[in-house]
Amino acid sequence: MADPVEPPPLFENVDILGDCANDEDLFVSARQEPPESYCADFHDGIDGDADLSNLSLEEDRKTEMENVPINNGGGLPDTMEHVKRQVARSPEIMLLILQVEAAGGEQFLEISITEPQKVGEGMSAYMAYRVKTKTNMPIFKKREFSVTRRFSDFLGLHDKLSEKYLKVGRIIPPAPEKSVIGMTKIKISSQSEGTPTNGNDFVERRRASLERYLKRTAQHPVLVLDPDFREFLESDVELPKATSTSALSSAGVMRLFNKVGETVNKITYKMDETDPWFEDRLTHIEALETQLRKLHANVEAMVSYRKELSHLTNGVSRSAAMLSACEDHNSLSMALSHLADTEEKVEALHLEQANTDFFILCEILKDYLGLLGSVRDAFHERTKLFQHWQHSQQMLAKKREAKAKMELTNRADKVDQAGAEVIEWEAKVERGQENFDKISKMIKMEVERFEKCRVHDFKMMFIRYLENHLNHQAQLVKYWEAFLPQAKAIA
Amino acid sequence: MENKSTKPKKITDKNKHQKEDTILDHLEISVAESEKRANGTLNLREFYTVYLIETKLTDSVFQNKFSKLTTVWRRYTEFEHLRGYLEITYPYIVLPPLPEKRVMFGWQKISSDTFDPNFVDRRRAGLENFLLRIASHPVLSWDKHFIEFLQHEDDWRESCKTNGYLQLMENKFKALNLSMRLRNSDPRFESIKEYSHIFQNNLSNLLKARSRVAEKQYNVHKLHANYGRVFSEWSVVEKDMGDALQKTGHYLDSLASSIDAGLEDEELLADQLKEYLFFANSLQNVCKNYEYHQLQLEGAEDNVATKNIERNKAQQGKTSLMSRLFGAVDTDEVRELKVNLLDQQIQEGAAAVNISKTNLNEFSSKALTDIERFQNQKVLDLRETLTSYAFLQLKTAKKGLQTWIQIRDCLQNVP
Repeated sequence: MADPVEPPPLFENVDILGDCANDEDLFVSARQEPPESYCADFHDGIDGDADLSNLSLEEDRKTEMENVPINNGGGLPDTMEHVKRQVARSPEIMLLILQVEAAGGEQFLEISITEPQKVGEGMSAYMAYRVKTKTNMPIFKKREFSVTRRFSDFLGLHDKLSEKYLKVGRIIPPAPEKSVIGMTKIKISSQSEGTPTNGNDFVERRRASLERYLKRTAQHPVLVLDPDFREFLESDVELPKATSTSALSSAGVMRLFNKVGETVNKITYKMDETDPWFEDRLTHIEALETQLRKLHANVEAMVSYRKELSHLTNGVSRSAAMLSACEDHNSLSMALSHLADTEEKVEALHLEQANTDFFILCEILKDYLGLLGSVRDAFHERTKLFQHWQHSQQMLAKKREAKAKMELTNRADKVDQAGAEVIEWEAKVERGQENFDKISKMIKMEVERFEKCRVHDFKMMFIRYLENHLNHQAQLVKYWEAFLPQAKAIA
Repeated sequence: MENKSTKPKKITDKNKHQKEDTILDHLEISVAESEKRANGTLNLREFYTVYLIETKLTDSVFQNKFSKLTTVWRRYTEFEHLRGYLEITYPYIVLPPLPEKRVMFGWQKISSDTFDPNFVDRRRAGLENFLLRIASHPVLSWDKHFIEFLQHEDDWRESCKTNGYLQLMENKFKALNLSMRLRNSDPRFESIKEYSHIFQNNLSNLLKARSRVAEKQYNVHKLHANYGRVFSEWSVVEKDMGDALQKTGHYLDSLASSIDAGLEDEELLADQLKEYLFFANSLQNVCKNYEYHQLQLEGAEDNVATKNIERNKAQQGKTSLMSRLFGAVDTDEVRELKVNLLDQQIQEGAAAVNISKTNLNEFSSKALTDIERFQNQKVLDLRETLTSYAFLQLKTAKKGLQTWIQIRDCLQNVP
């Protein structure tokens, strides 16, 4: 762990901005004077006063425009530069960037999920996971810490983040899916089977997907700073039960209802698109989604084929062994038994390959299908804001008409009221347009970051998969090379 | 398709005992082509395939007996007749089997249509192998009927009809299939019989498992073609990754099509194993023939034993129960007549027993010799097959490795 560099006194001294500004031209265009209120609020927030920080964030929500680049294991240096170029108004973000610079760009946040444990018995049982974090980011209280969380906590986190950020057009990574069947199996299985080493497929899959979820959320430069996220990672207390996430409850039914409504809205409302960028993007995303779905289906088929292949190879191995047993001739018998061994090794290899296919390709493709869904959600929020804005405009027109009518009929008292309403709606229209523009900008930025991440992720995924596959193929070659002289040696 | 004419040559090369002369030393035999022909009228066409057998004289010593080059067309049933004849004539030889009549252990790509060109070609190779094995057998290769088969298309068919051995075949077949209870059985033959059953079983399991693995391999590789398609379509959508994705798609397509050649070659190896599966049958037939001889011997011995008892009874004047009841007693004369008759029968019986014994011994020794020859040959052949199989797998794996390396390099170039 790097020696913790004393973070520059953040918010007391405005000059910090000036100092660093000299180093980088990019900051020249930025505002030099952070308003005191912002500083104070944010500072308090850092000190652990959750409410205030929440407050400040809520105010800032509409003005936040940039991403704070935090290096996560050195993955995206480009993004940082790129985003810095887009730095605009928000000062506290600036200050955090400073932090990053001051610490020498060595910010990292490593999250891992281990030790799935079954807690409780019967239908109220659940799996608890240990979430370990290692970081040198100053916003966290400690360098290394771990907490216990259960699945509904993760869902709760996602809900909170969505609530806060979806409306401004951020892309929130989706949480892993609920699985009633899988979970019920765990619940009804006996205690001893709940230990992590039982090779339980379902538990392992879930653990891996939860880990990916947290990592992805941490990758997002704004979400990682979110206090809820931080609380999730470091707060030792058991989080309040996120009952709204339970599948079988009245809240669940309500959510389902809302979802249906939203879906209908998505399909029926056709927005007047002024910016071709969005149309392009949407088509692109839809096409990508189709391809990924096909690929995912193929990989799933491949996994099952490989498992079957493994099983059948076992058949070959066994019959070769039996043949070996019935032969008297020594070297023939030995060669046959070597064949049986080789085939057995090949069988294990096939099974391993199937698992690789699954864990590296399949799951990540599924993740991305979910993510693309989130992107679409963000787009949809924009559509909703547009709807809102249009609606406001319509109301404004109506109110104006009403006012004109009042003026004609010379109803002085009503005229005033109408006038007030007109002003009210004018303000709403203006806000509507503002919000719409903001969300459009936000989405553009988010999507760009998302795309970079995606290409990078995919590339990494493929490379990892191929390295693995290559290893397996090389092993295959080795096995047969070892067998060949055995076969030749039959006298 | 590979010509298997090289295989039997090795038999003679590796023959550690005194090299026995076979016809293959002087001739070259090959089944070169196949042709589809039809019988019957336009409406009731019955199709069948004929195969062209070419015999070339390589050794001028035999010029008087054979012409330089002979060609005959034969169909599968004629091969069957030839083999049936050999079966009757040489019951102590482990006869080379014919290639399968119907497709066994078929899978997705191996159609069970006997007119399928792939099947016809594999059968052609199998028939050639059959002829070569016979031609390289020290006893079988000099059989006149076999030589006729190779040389004279119509004359052989004629002689088939006149031989009447078809009838013999049928009788023998029925006789062999009766269940035989033996008192004593040569343990050597017992163990060979047991071995042949186990061998047949295991080999059959192996072949079945292999064909299912082949099918699954085929499916896995064809699925990669799906991958290729998706990648190609996907590359259209992408900007940065587009190029790499498209190249990957092409590589995947090539991977998918590469499996075909490998599996075809593997089918040939499977055919070699199938031959030995059928060889197990031949082995069992030899054992059955032994049992038949043994049965004859035991029958003859039983006959002598019964006659002896009767003779003793007759000697003592004991007659049937009926005559005792009714008081008729043999006179001395009658008794002596009976005894003499029985003595004669006993002598004949004893002679028969001796003949049987000699037959049996002769049969046993010839059979055991040939079985040993067969076992040695089997080791050589299986070695070939296993080596080829290993080599094939190695080749496929290496090729796969190469393609995947190319794919990886391709994708690594994505910015």
